[in-house]
Amino acid sequence: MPEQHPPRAVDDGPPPFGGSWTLLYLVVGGVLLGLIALFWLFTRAFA
Amino acid sequence: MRPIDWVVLASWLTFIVAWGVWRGGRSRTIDGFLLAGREMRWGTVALSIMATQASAITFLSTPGQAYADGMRFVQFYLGLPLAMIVLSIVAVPLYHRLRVFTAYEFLEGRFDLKTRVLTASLFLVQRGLAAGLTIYAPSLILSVMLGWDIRLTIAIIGGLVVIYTTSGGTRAVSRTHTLQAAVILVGMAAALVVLIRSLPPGVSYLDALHVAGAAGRLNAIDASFSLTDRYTLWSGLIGGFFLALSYFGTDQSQVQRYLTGRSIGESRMGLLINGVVKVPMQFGVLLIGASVFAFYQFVRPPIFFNPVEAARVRASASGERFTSLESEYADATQQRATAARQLADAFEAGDPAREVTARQGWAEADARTTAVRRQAVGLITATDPRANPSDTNYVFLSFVLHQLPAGLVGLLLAAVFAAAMNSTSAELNALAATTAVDIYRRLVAADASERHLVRVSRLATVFWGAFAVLFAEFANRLGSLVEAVNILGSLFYGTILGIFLLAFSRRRPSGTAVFVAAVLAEAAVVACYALTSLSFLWYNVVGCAAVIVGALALYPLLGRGQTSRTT
Repeated sequence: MPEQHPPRAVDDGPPPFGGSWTLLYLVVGGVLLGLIALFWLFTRAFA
Repeated sequence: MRPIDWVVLASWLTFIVAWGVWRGGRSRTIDGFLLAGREMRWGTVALSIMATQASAITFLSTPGQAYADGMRFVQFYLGLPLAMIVLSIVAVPLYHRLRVFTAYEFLEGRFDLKTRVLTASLFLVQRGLAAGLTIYAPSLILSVMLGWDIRLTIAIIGGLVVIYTTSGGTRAVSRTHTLQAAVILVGMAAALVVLIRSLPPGVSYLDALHVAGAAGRLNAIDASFSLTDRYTLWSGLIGGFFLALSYFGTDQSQVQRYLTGRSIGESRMGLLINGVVKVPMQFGVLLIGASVFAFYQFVRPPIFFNPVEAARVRASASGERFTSLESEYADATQQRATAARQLADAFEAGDPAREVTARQGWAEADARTTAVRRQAVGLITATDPRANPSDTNYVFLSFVLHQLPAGLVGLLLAAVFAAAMNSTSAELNALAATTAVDIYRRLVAADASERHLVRVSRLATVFWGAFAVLFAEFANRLGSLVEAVNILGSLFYGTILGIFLLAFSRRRPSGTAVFVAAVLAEAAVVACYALTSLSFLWYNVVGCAAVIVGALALYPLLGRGQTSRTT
């Protein structure tokens, strides 16, 4: 028999900062887009 | 190495082992030993996640990668932030609610025992081998510096990690990660500052970067699409996303780090911080490598960065020819330095016509330098066919030893050791957890007491430490270590990810359909590696897609599984 534990109720509250998880996900995605743009500019500047 | 360097290095190694043993405590429960009592805050979780991924290979081989191939390797990490978001939404709440110790435990509830054991076994093989590579990298440093037998240095490094990981378990791993991360950050920043200050008078850092850019070393983004080019924007975003999803979502060495979080929010935050920090951190490490390249345009580098291989040829019958090539190389690099100076001056003056002429002059001088070096490498491999023609892993080490002042060399070496011990300890800890929970408790001793399982986990830590040490003995013929470890991971991660994606879905095929599809998918990935020139990042996509398509195709024959009530 699998020894998997029964699901438990866990705290899924708001993040420690930033207001909401959706906003934090958007920030992480936005930072990635910003970094790609910066790296592209960096490549062009030194090509 | 001067006495102060030895003092710094030895003090750090002694301190961190003692700190790990002290802060790790002596857990008597399996929850305490394997998951640190699930009490960690997000800051510790984030540092532990980053420290686990950033091994000594990251700090030794990645700068060498940038030196030889430019900064395009940064694209490998571009899929990572997206994977952090997906895992925060899907995997973290699921693992927390089910209170699993390992990622593979979750698969039995979703499919069946054989799928759980197959996936756990794929992890044990892949991670056991990877742990060997992470021990090998810092061992290389000591063997090159001290002229010791590398087998001895591998055994010492492996032994130090095993002491505190066996004693304190996951709590020791997480606590030491925090301190070691600080040493790594200070050490790498110090190396960059010294490098900038060591440039010849009149050459600014920006000018030096322009020379590196002219040589194609600052190529951070390549937007072209190719299935055979290893690092492009698209292979990084797509292949890298699948690799990161698999590594952080299904590799126990990472899952165990965020399972230590005291709530879903603490674990999730740890992953998201990693998503923001990891790419700039890798860019920084690669920039150091590109900067070392720029530095050696003005200062003569060794003809071959591995001093042991160079010394072997000098002592052989080809020694005279090699010495003559070294003289030729000195002349060629002198001419290249003059050309680089002219190029830097042209950049400084902002004169495009002068820049074109200077660029051509540098290219000609560099071609001559490269030709002489190629002859020297040919002589090295002709003298000893077993010699590794790649010296990428020695570039940064050579710079540290020859250019950094007393004390900082010891600090940099402490940073490299810190990184090696971070990732190795997390790997051994995860291998022990999987062995104890997924294999021993599930197949051998279902009624084992907590204390007995903690004892088995400690024994498993020692076993996997010994396994990693043995594999490390064979690692020196794998070329660039950072690539080797990622190729190794990509051979397995796609298949494992496919299994987990099916497990996360609400309606899924039966365990038997998934099991058969996983075996066929792994065979397909190995065939891609052996028979095609497909770039390794795409193995993750192939393995994942093959499991999903195969399981869906097989389910009319082998049946459908349950519908989830827990997701």
